[in-house]
Amino acid sequence: MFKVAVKNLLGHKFRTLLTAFAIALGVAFMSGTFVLTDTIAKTFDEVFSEANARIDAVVQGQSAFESTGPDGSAQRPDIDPALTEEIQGVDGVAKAEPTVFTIGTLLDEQNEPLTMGGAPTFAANWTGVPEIDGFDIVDGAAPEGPDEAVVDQTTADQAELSVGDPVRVQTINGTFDFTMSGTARFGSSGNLAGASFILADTATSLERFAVGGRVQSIYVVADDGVGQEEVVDRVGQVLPDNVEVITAEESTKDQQESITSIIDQLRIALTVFALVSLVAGAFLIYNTFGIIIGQRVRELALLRAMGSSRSQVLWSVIAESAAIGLVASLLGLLGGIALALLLQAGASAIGLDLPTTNTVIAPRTVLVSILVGTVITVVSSVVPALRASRVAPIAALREAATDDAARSIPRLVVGVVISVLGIAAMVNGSADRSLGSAAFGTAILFAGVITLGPFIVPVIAQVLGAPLKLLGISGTLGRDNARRNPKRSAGTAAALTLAVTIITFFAIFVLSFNSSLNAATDRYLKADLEVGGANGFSLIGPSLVDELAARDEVAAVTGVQRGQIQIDGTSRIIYGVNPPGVEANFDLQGVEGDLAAMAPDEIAIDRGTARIAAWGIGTQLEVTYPDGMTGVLTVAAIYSDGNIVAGGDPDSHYLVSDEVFAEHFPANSQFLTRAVVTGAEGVALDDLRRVVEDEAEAFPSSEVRDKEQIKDDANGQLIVVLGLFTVLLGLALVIGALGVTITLALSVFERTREIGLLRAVGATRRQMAGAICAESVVLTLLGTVLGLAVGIAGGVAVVSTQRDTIDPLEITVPPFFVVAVLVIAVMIGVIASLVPAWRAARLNVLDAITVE
Amino acid sequence: MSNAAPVAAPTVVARAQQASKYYGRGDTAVWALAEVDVDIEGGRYTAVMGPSGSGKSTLMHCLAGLDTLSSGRILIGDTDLSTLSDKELTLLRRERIGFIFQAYNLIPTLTAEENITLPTTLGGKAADRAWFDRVVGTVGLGDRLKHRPSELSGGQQQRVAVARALAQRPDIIFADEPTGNLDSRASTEILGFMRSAVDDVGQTIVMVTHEPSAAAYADRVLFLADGRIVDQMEGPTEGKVLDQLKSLGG
Repeated sequence: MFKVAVKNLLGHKFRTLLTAFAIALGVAFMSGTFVLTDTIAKTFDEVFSEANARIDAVVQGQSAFESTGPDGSAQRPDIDPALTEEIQGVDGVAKAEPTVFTIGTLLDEQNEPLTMGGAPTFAANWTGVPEIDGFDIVDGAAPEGPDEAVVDQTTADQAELSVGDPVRVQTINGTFDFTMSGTARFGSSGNLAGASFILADTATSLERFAVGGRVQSIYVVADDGVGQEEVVDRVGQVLPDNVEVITAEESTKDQQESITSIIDQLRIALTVFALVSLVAGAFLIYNTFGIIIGQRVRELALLRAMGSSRSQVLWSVIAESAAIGLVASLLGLLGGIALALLLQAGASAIGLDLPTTNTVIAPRTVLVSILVGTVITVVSSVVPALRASRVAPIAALREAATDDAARSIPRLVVGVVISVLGIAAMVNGSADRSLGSAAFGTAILFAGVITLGPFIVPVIAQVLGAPLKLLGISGTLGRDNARRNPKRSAGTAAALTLAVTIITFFAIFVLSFNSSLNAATDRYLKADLEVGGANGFSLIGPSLVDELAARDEVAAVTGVQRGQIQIDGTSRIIYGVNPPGVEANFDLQGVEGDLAAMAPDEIAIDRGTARIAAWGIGTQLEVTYPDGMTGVLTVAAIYSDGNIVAGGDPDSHYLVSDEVFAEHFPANSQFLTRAVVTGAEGVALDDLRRVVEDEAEAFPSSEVRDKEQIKDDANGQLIVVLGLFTVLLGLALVIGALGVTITLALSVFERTREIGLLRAVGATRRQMAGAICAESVVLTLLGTVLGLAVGIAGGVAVVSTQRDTIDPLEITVPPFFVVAVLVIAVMIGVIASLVPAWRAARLNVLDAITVE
Repeated sequence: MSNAAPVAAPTVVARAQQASKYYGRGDTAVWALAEVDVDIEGGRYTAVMGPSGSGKSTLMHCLAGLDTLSSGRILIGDTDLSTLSDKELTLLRRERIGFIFQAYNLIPTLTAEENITLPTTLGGKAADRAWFDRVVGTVGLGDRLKHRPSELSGGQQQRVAVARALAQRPDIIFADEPTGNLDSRASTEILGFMRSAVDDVGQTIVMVTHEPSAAAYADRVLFLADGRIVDQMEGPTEGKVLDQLKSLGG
């Protein structure tokens, strides 16, 4: 029987190839994800171990509670560089140097940031101690004095800087000019995983890059013969309370872990998309095998009549699918590795150097790819295989009966029940504000709609019939062919339905979020202008607030900082603001207490938080700051809704004075996420803009935006997000289209006689191709319309659960989106039909009409 | 070949000249048709008979523009089929040739009426209603027009096929074993319709058959063997045809 399976595969190369391709695509996506993320992780691991290779211990601030700083690692207090001297005095310490490590952006001649593909940019100090500086000078000399700095080689090359050229950098403290004394190379790779570096000597760095003269860490090199553990023990003796010392190895591991968690998130997200593609592939396999079994009923019956047992038939079909799955998985694995190598090359083009020697093909990648691909293929073929095994020997003698089981009453009942349950869960979730329940309901509704597919096919074909009739007889034939076997059509459309449902669901979610955000900007942002990061990454120092406040044209200015403190034993996100301007710039929709007079030992909370925690004005809250200090904050004000302060993030439950940030937060948490400005009475917007731009000049990486520009910016980012998402789901769409192609090819094969007849009585090749094309469009529109329906219903249900959190909540289902999706569906339909239509048009008429 | 001059020279609707069809080359070549010359006269009912492999189906397929010759030519009216492109051949079949096959004559997704008007619809034209009604009335399908093929009996399906061939008023209708799958009553009906189409409206019909009783409906019978026309008979009867076949077989 295994021979039968192999012969079947080889006998239908086109179909086998396409089926395998559908699975291979999903597997390639998954293995590519694994290889690429593993490679990135390995590159970073190497970078970190290389950076710490020649030191023995790291002295750093002790993080006071669990938190995540802006760079993904724990929020740590900065430390006093004066400790260095004491550490140098410890027996066994050969060298110790303070290290400044802050964010600094290189600027070009137009004062615009030199962006290196979005990789971070750092300003740090050159200690002059080779063991501690991870860099080696390539050209020129090490920086000396307040006028000199070195730049990493990769960045210097990209910016076309040579030794002696002026370089300008912006840090939290403003803009500074240097002469490039040289270029430096990090370790062996030359570049710290895509990050740009500018390094000045320690004194200059402390003055220009650091905040408050404090540093991020002190690196220690031990005397020969003194182990890492030993030097840590000894250094630990001289450190104050909130400063810790760890071995270089531990430090490496911490750094690796913080980047690994980010890479893991990336891997999980991409794997989810890969799984969506694989599920689409599963639909395709299920449907294709179903059709093939239907076409092979006579052959199977003959096998049974000749004495094959049921289980032999069953296993021959499963063996066929296992063979396809295995070959496809192997191809997918190879494709994924190729894809990863390609992306790796692409990454180095944008400055993220991922050496090819680092390409990681982990055993896990190979195993999971092959296993998942094969298992999904086999599982998808079980139901068709069971159906094949139930073919009675007598069927060999009968005309093949049409498969009506798909439209049985039980199926209708089950489909309706599942759909109703799904809708109920969605309605219920929406009513209860339960996002999980609404999303779960959407998944159930999807299952229901897929079950009901065969019943929906005739309806949709009927609706589409009218426009198709305009295409003449081809349109009519296409429509009729699409609905003649509703189960097949519905099965074919299912993969597309899956992709379109997810795209639509996500689009509704993002579009609604965006329009809600824009509505909030219109309604609750009272300020005239905003100063924010040019590409979402803000580098504005808090000094901007004071400078702006000093200008006569400015009535109110508020800078917004974001960080975490521990309140009542729990780590919380808080926003820092300068209290007097807040209410002038933001409409908090009703404030109890005196927010403008909020002191550094006071806190403002939103009404929801106050209600849940049963706190009121005057409640005293025990807090721990990032620097390890503890204190008491008294609730001074309660506001209704602070989302506008957070720029739309629904996490603005706590506001504190910016003095809290200045006093207790490390340098890298001092940056303003944005600053907003209200003009004084009688000052025209253009005049105000000039003033603000003038002050913002100190931070060239920022941008000044009015409300319309804020919204445009949000819309721009939205399109990027939607585009990215659509690309990631594009593969599922491609697989859906492949499914349509396979089904049509099988149908053309099945209808050879009919096509021959049509051609004999006068259908031209063009008309024949047109009919196949029309059928294809009906199939793709069927999948798309169902996907749109489920996706819109789910998106609306899920978004509506946020009506207490997001204010104003605007649920958006833009007609342009729906129209665009439908247009794309038609295009996919046309493309998917190309090969089968060509085959149908090229059929030899005589062969076709004489085929038995 | 007898070449008796007819009383009034009828128009020749289709003509094969030195029509040959062979597969392979040289000594191993298999000849399906060997230099066949035949004229199909307008307004007459011609039956083509012969044993299996005699080339009768090949002759019909070539005359109908479904197959191509290895050498020689086929004329439909004045049109030489070998000069036509696929598209021109298709249009010629659509407008000037009608087909009735043994089975699978109908498109399953179309109703009887849609099947009958299919060639017209393919041409993007509206059916001639009066003619359509007359044809449908003749074959007795009036109450079955909205049914799909699967809802019709075999005889009814063949009647739809005959109606389709007649409805477009082609220059010539080719029927390939049109009664091969039917019981005798339905066969009689179908053959009767074809006969009356020739008598009443002067339709030209060429029918391939192996049944002497069917051939008896024709005006003329061509006998093929080994790719050649070996004999022909005017005014056939079942008995005469049977005798002739026996003599060919013996």
